[in-house]
Parts: sequence; C-alpha cells; structure tokens
Amino acid sequence: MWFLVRASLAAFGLILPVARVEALIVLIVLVLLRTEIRWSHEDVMLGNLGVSHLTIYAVAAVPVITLEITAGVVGRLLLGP
Amino acid sequence: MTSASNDYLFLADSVGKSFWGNTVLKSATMWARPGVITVLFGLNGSGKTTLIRCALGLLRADHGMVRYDGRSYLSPRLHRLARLGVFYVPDRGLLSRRMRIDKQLRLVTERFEASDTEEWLERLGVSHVLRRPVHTLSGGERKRMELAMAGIRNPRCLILDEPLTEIEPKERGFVNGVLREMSADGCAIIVTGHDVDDLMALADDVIWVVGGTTHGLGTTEEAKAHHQFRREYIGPRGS
Repeated sequence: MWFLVRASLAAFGLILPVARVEALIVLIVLVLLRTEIRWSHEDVMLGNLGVSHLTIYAVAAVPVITLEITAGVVGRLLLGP
Repeated sequence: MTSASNDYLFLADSVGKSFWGNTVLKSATMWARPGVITVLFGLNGSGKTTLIRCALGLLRADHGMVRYDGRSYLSPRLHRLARLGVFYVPDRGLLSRRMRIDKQLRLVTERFEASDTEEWLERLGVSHVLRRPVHTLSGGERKRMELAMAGIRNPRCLILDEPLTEIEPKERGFVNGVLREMSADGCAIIVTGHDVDDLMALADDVIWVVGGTTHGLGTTEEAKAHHQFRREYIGPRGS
C-alpha cells in the first residue's frame, strides 16, 4: 500500500507539475485520512461490507490528489514554470 | 487447546502480539463452531480484543494463523473474511457517525441482498431510530441496532466484542435470546464480555484469556468447576 503511495508521489514529481512540497502535502493528507478512518472505525464497517483498506484509501485519496494536480497545473499557468 | 479440528468454522491459532516490547499475547487461540456460542472471558487488558483484531487482520499479529472454512490465512483481512460470511461488531461501536443510520443499513441490505430488514428492526426495537444521527442514540439502542445489522447480514460467523456492555440488565436476556436463535440457525458465534452471569447463561463453550494465552475450559459447567478460573476470574459468587 505505502509502496504504491510512494511510487505514485514519485511519479507526480517526475511527470506532473507538482512540486515535492505538494507531494509531501498529499502524503500528509493521506496519512491523516488513514488515521481518521482507523480511529472512526469506519474501516470495520466497510470491512464487514467486503471493502478492502486499499479501496478505502484509494477512494479517499482521489479528491485530494485531483485537487493537488489541479492546483499544481493552475499554479504553473499563473506563475509560469 | 489442541490443534485444528474440522468442525471449526473459524480458528485463530497460536496468535502472538506485542506492542512496543510489551507482550499482550504470547500464544492465544480462539475458535468458532457452527451452532455454538463461544464466550471469551478475561480481565481488562488480558488481550481479548487484541486477539479478535489480530484474528480479523485489523491488527498485524507477530505470529499465528487463521483458518476459516477450510482455508488458511497467514495474513487475514476482514474484508476477505467478511465476503465469506464473517461479521464483526467491535466494542467501540460499528456505526459511522458521518452517515444516517438508514443509509448505513441500506449499504448492508443491498450488499448482502437481505430481505428481512424490517423484521430485524422490529424485532430489536430500533425501527424508530433510523433517521436519527448516530450520536443521538443511547448505548443500548446503538448495540441493538448493531445486532440488527448483524442479523440482516445473516453471517456464518458472528464476532461480538462486549455486546452486553451498554445493554440494560433487563434487556440482556432478550439479546441473549436473539443470539441463541442465530446460533440455532447454524451461525458460529464468538462473544466477549465481563457480564459473567449473562454470558455464562449464553455460552456453549468457554475460553479464558489469561497471561497472554488462552485456555479452552469447555462447557459452562466445566468452566465453573475449573478451580483457577473460579479463583482468579469469577470470584466467590460464581459458585
């Protein structure tokens, strides 16, 4: 799971206009999401429904990553490369 | 506990778990058999919840394995076991506080194509709370709703961590009756708790979690006759 996250973040840095700081923000948000889901025990409810942790975090991460990429692209357009 | 036997639907065998060098479980084993209610007794901090969470893959065990329905899992995962019929109700609550109860219920009903939702809600007396936010439910209402959800799921193996804790004493017999009926339908049930009288009345099989390990004590009569269990756990009133 974390290997995938790290690999994804590395890919952002290489391919997409997202700086390392932004990648770090994504990582922090993902960790917070993970903690939040664990502490709220929603992982148990979703687990009982047959939903894996990987799916939960992937779905939770989509809006965060999308927002980061959008912010990165808009930032580059406005501020230049 | 002797090793795996074919009549176990669920077996978590020789589970060990330490937290930052503090060993909670050295080698603990729990099991569930179809049509049998197994009760895990143990003092606070003895490792009952840790054992359950390791068995379901919610905590990574240091060692041990799980066997469910004839298949072995070195790294069990709740979602995989749930697809095969396991349902877990944790001690801290199952319901999410972010969604209304009826929506959560709909998830379970649709996921498992249940047709007896209304019946379970009526039976557990929680039909009137469906549109309320979770945080407005009393402890007893929440527990009964979670039990209704388990019934709607119609699991092959139901694991309940301290289900009687917030249930009024006068309602515990009723809850026990519901669990007994589920067991009679073939469900393998594991229950933990401290309510000795109520749980002894419910148990077919008793496991004692103590000193980082487990002892299968057998039936309630056998458990009550176990000298060390009586002395260290039940106390004088369990005679």
